[in-house]
Amino acid sequence: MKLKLLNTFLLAAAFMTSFAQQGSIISISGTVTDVKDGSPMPGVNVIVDKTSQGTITGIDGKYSLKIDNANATLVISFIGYTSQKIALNGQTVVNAALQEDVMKLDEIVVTGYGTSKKKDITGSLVTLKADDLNQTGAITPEQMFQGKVSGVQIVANNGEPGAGMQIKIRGASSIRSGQQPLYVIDGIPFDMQSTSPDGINGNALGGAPATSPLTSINPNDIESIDILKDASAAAIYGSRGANGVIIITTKKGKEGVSEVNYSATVSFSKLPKKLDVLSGSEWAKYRKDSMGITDYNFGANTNWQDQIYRTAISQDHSLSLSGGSPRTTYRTSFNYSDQQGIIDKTELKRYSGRLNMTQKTLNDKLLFEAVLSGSQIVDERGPVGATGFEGDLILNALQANPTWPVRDSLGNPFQGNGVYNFFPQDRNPVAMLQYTSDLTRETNLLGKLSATLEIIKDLNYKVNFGVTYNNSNRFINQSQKLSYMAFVGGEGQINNRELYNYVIEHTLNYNKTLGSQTIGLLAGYSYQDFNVRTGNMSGGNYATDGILYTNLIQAGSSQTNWNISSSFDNYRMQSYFGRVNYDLMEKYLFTATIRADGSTKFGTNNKYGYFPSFAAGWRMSEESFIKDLNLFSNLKLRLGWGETGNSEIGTKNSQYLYQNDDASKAIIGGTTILGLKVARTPNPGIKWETTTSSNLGIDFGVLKGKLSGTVDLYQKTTSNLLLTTPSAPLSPTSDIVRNMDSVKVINKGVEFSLTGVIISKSKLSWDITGNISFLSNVVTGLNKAIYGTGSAQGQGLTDAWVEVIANNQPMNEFYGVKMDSIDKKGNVWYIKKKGYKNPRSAPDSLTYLGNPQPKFIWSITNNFKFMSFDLNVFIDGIYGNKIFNNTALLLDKNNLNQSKNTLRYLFNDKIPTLTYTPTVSDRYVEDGSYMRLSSITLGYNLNIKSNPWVKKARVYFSGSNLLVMTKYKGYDPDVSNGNGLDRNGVNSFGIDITSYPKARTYVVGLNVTF
Amino acid sequence: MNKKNIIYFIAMSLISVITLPDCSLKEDIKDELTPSVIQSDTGLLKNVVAAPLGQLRNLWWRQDFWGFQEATTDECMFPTRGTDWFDAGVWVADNTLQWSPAIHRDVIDTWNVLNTAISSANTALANIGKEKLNELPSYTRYRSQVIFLRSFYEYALLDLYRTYPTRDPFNYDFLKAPAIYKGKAAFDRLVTNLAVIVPKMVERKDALYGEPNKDAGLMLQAKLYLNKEVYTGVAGYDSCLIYVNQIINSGNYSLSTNYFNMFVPDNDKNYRQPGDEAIFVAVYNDDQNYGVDDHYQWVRQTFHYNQTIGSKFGNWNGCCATQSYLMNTWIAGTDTGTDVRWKDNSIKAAMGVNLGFNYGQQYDPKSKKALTDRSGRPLIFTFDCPLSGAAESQGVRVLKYPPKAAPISPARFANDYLIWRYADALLMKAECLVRVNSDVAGALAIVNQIRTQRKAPVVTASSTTEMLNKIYIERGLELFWEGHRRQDMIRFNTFLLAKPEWSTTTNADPKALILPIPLSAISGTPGGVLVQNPGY
Repeated sequence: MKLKLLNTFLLAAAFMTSFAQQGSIISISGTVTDVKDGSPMPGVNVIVDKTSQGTITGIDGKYSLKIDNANATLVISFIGYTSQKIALNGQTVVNAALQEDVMKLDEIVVTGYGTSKKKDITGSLVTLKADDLNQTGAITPEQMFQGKVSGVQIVANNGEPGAGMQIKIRGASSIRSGQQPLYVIDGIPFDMQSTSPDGINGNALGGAPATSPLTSINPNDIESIDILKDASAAAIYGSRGANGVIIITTKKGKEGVSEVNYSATVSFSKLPKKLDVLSGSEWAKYRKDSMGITDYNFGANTNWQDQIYRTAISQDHSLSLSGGSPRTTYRTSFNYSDQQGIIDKTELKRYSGRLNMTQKTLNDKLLFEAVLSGSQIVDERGPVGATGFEGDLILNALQANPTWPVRDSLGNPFQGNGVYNFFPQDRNPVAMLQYTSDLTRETNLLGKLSATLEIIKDLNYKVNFGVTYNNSNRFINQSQKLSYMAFVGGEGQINNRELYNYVIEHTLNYNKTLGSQTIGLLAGYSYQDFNVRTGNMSGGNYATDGILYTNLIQAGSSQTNWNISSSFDNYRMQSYFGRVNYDLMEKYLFTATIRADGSTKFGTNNKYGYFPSFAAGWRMSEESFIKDLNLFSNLKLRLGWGETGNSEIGTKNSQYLYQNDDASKAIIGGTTILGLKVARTPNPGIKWETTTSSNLGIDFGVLKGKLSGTVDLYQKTTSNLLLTTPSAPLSPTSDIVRNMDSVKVINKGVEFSLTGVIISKSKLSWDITGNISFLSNVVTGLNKAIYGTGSAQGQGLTDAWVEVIANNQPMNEFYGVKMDSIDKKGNVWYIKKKGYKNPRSAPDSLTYLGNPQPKFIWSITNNFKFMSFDLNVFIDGIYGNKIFNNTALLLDKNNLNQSKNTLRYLFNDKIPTLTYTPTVSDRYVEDGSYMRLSSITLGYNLNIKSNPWVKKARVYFSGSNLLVMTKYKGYDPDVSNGNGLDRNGVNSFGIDITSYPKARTYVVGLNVTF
Repeated sequence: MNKKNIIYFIAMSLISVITLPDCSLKEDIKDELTPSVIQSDTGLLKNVVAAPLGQLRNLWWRQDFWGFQEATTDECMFPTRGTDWFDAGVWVADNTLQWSPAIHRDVIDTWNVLNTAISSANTALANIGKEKLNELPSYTRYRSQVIFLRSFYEYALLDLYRTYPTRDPFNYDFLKAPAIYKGKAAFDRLVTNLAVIVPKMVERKDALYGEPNKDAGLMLQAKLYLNKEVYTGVAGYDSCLIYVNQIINSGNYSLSTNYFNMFVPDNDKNYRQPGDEAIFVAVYNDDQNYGVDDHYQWVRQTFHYNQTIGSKFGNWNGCCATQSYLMNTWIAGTDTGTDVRWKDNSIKAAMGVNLGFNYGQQYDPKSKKALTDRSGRPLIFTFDCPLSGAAESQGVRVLKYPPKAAPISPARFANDYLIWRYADALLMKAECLVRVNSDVAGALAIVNQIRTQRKAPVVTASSTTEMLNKIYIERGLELFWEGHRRQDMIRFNTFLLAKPEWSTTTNADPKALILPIPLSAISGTPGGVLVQNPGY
């Protein structure tokens, strides 16, 4: 190999010198085919080695090229295939058959501020191309790689269309908010602020919907997703890299390939399982026989779940046009997606368009790249989301009196019959759906222009300018026809949220190969400006439902019912960064990066943070002593160390500022005087969190690449943790945001990824990819014993913590009492410390009850191809995690005592009394392990050789979420809606409070390329 | 310079114009006010001074100062009813006098609310500036008002936690530890400050309604000396007598001719009218948002879910009076047939409930139908009520501050809260007469003056012990649910006694006379200067 390389260099040098002397123009042509089935390959690069001359094969795999050197060497390359170098030696017809490269070592992967070949990577980085992603039923990008990457855990907040996801790359390294990775989309670091406005208050509606800001991206536009897992890969993103970086690159046009692609899906979704509640007759009989109560029996037999869930029908259409000449490429796409939720009325529609263009000028020395994308999302939500003791739609569908009829004699939702009127706590789920509306209309725009100039050979300067804009308006109406809204005469709310961000970046890139050494240098500067404006208004006490409240919000009876607020937040970041790549003999690889990040959010004494990283790689398979073994087609050792940061704190934390405060208004002599108070306790020293991580990785391929894999071993230690902690007494507020010097969060883990090609024939192929990752997480150095992170919902459970962060425990440990026994009177006893029992949950009985973080997560992907059929089977699972089933707590047997319904398994449980007080105890901590048949896709490629218009056509059928094997008793173990953030901004995790259930979906899809 | 370089030069020039480095990265404040804005606009001073007064409203509800003065005593209990009102054990802890400094929500929050209010007072003082010769009279008025309010909050901390922190208002370094005052030192500092400031406070005749006036200052001094023995171990009833006499002899006040009229919505109309008893009030209005949305609690926290109180909003079925209090204070202490304080039916037709104490079968005000609880059993409020495992209908419900017939919102409240009133001052005087001069006759005259006004039978007493007991009972009759009971029970040595409702037979640990200092406050205080109270 060494010799061959040297030869190539010498040859190249020889051609270079002869370049000037050769004058005559010759035509070269040929056909490039796939070794596997001999089919022509379009879009293959054919380049004259050491020059920028070249072309691309056409649809028929043919190319032709005019060159002026009959002795040149052609480099024929295609992504995912092993390149070939063919010396012309006077030939004019050069055909090539390319072999698919199983190892994909030449695959281009996207690193921060640049690209690299996979084989040259020293950090821990995973690239997913469009083919690797979950395609079926994905509405947002996160759904496309859920379960696909070792060490990356993605948990859905709930099953609502467009719902957000909690993504943890190598565990949570931060206690506070900001556990999410940084997203970089087409080179623009994305501000992951929620784009959806919160409500002001609201009786059933109004909670933060926690939808994904990535919903604006059409998954069909995604070319690749690169996930930077360790610090040596992510440190180039400095103070935002601690939770890993996800780089999303959208598709661009290709030179010489003009294509029209249309893809469409129609899908049908339904609730995989109903929760088993008592029927109306069972409920009435038990209350009569065992409790002696005949009241509140209305004789009907209603399963309210049947009334709110439906079979949802969704459709998605994407059309893209792309093409390119040697100087210009373009790709434009349009998408219409209409995603119905399985809860009646809930629906998310997206209209999006995108244009990606590149243009070369100045003798190909200047390259412009432009991205313009826009989308509108119309999201209709239901009254879902636990707010208030009376609960949301789903809780009420489970607990509502099953003897109520659905509708009254007039056809209106039953809310009493004149004799019996609804009490304020009574909710008919159908009335909730019919008499509320919650619509969010969101506009997203992204514009980006970059210019790359080759200043001198090997030295490029690039400027990148981007603007993102997002404007959301949310309209909430709760009709006075709802029994519980009658008193306030209905409520209307209009909430607005506007985000606009700018980024400008300058980078200088220098790449030089000198003999057996290659050096790459990057220097850059970045400036970002982030803005969030909100405006909220609400009105109430409407005289009539004749006009939708939000259409004329001031129609409320008087200004005393009006409620208005607004806010405006800005922060800016300024950064300097650099990277050195050094490659010696393609064997020894070194990378060093540094980033200096400054932010207006940091205190005056800590304006800039510095984040270095170092990594080395050793491609052992290039060493002769490994080659002699004749075993490894690839063997690479990677070692990396680095520091990254997390700067996800609010703004203004270092500032002493005054704000209006309603509770500080004084009323003197009948006049209200506005109150001004100091907004927060300033901390002038506030700064970022620092995560120090090290990574040891091995990439290997054996059996000629038929079996390949990656093993990574890592440790991440986060220090200077940002926490909202008690301030010293007599501070303006009782809390202060501080960097906790003593506290550390330590994540350790090991990740395996293995791909095996079992059969690789032209007619039949089968490969399997498996991932498994183990993780352990612990928090140390907390001086305060317990930090509450998630509280229970339900009557009498105000301020009852379910989940805590405690010293030497994993993060988000469940916390409560352990049930011991039930005595003859039916009283529940709890285990008290030191072996004593306690008849009730007392502070001295509280103990740790398990953890929502899994011991390991795994997935297996099977790809089969037979003739024109392809089959993909994707199974994933997690093991060893616990879920706090707050839904069960809200639905326990004592509900019968309040004329509400209960779950059958709780009803049948040994706990005999109706006066049992649901307590945060191990009764509701359940095993959340599961194995899921996440998707099966069967595709068929139509035979279109006879059709001159169509290049490719594929139909497919797919089912997702087909089977879940779990002991979890709720709707689905893949939940984590919890309570969002508590008042200290701390994340909760793994709490199931009547989450919107995940649907089972069947998809029929069509993909045609013209 | 060739063509390429020219283009490069132009491009670079353009780009550097677009992005000049922002080296300072100074934060751009968009929606809050910087100190320089406040200082440059003297018109904003009144808004900064408003804050410590406005925050007075935070104290008078079940989770704060009021809650500790009432829910720890026999006047008020929050039983756990099935699932309801367990709230991580806060109410059981309050009622059984067993608080955890680490997790008791209200031990922590009340400390925080009082500290924040003092900090607001300090901020106001820093903006008013140091006292100058020939300064504007308005500055003196502001300063005395703010120092009075700060003293009031310090008194509240002293009363509950027996300690309070202080800070130099002109120093904004909040990472430094405050100075901590405890016990006698804390008491002495307070009375010294008040002796300077109270004479400078605005006279009641010149004061606007809601503005703390000199009588409020005198009452704070009287309250401190009334409880001095509890705070410092040395009695101060003689000094208390001096201050209450100044209030009583001012002629500003007389006993109300209609007891519940003191507590009705828009009770500010009573100001300076005959029968005005209000010495110090926290003013609530329902015309706009005052940040205390939960405070329409006088109805919601006590009445049952299915009682609509005239309007269609839900109640929370929480607290009630204890049976032992009802028997000892009311049944034994007065004639509930005549005493106007027991029951007032003026709102019953409209709202289905009465002012005072509610018991027996409850009815819907519109349909007149007998109500049931949520399970379907009759809703009959009973005298007996256990602390744990109570049924929905157990416990006598108490209504002192009635709602408006047509409230603007279930969250808003137009009744001004009477922090201190004239009848309290009279009873304090009676108590001091007995304790200082053994003047039973003088005390009896005062007690019977009140009882006559409230249509209660007059009482007699032949010894100081008997007289003190009569005063104790009278305070329970006159001032129920007004936030005085804990102080009274501690002063009359009944606070720690076992109560049948709690199913305890032994007296409580004396450490319960003082709340624990929240662990969060101790951990937030550098240098270990804030020390936990004994026994916790």
